[in-house]
Amino acid sequence: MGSGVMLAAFEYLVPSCIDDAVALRREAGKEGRFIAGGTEIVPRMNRGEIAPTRLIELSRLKELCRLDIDGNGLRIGAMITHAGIEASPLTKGQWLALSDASGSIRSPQVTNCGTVGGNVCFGVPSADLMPPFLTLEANLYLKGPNGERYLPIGDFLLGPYRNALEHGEILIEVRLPSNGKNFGSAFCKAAKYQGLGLASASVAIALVLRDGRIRNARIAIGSATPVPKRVPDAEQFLEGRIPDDETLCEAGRLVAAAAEPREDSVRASPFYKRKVLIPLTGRAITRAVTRARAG
Amino acid sequence: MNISFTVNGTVHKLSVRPDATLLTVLRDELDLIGAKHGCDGGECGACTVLLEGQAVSSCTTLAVAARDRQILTVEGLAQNGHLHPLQKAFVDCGALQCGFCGGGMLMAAKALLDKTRAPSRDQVKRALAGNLCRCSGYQGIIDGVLEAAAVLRGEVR
Repeated sequence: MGSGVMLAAFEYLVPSCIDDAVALRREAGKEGRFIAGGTEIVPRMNRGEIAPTRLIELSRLKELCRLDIDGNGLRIGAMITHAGIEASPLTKGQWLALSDASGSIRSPQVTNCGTVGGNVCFGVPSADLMPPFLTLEANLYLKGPNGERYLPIGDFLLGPYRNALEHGEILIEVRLPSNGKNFGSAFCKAAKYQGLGLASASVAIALVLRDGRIRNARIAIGSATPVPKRVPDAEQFLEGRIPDDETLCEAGRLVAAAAEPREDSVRASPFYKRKVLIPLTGRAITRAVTRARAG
Repeated sequence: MNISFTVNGTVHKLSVRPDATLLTVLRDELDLIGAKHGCDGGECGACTVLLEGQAVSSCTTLAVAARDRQILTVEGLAQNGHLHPLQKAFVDCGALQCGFCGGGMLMAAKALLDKTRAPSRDQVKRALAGNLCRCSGYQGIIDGVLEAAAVLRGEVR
């Protein structure tokens, strides 16, 4: 610094309303970035992989900082951190899969800063909140230059690190519909440190338990496909079944069959990922069933 | 960009580039070199400081994002020439060998003990899960945190 080297112009802007944030982002073109917790963007800037010339901090947008329940369900602002999810009394009961997922992130330094919005928008294949959001049928509330819209979570990620946001569009909040009685959800993952850390594979499930039988099961996998996705074959198989060992095993096999791990995947071999998805699925179903009984 | 923040009780007014991390500003501008420059990617925890009482990696936090806030670094632990109970316990337990991870370990442990008076061994492990140590094997560090917790509760010495 101060050595006479020309530094690229660099702006850091902190808008206090969504319309301003959208306009500022749009104006900046490709060189602009929204920044929330910084846990993904800042390391990339440090390594020189990205060099934005305008950062737009979202912390002052109060609509993004809400976590509450209304008549329709749970609303999670994009700026809520993983620590915020894990600690909130609102993400318990029917939405426990969310607590499982945010609580499975290993380092407090990450959970204190990393946000829901970053987890969803960055599009990392191992993003822990994605499988729970898929099974809880999340709707994303977006605002952009062309107004507001809702997008089902399943239509949001187009591929690894690619999402359906239009230029200048912001994720405001994730909305999760309320579920009825006897509903349970869970998230389990395989990771190096007692289930904490970056996932080698993950499974989320949401289900209703009626007269001891599974109804309306929804299963999603993460870290084993280009982007997290639902597994309809396993969902259909589970309909009306009693959660005994045989059922858990077969559901696990169907989930494993839906995996599409990369040949060069880093944290675990494709063989291991497929194998571990079987017990992981069983564990997730068992946990969700237990919770459904309690709920 | 002109910002100000409070580090270890002292207000600093600074002009920083928006892409400067809190870590580089602490080390290069304020000469506070207790937070270590390890991985630069939020993986190793050696740069951990407390931001408003919460453990954060100062290498993944931009200095501008810390504006108007309270920062505590390892240099702020000792008071009036007396080591903080955590530092004393680290010495007594032989917690560290090379010491590179020590500042980050102490700050992550401080965040825990500020909230949790009587942590279990597992809670200590969990609180330090974002901090890597490549020489000690961790046991001495965990012993140190538990010992410091006991001292702070007035149960030891």
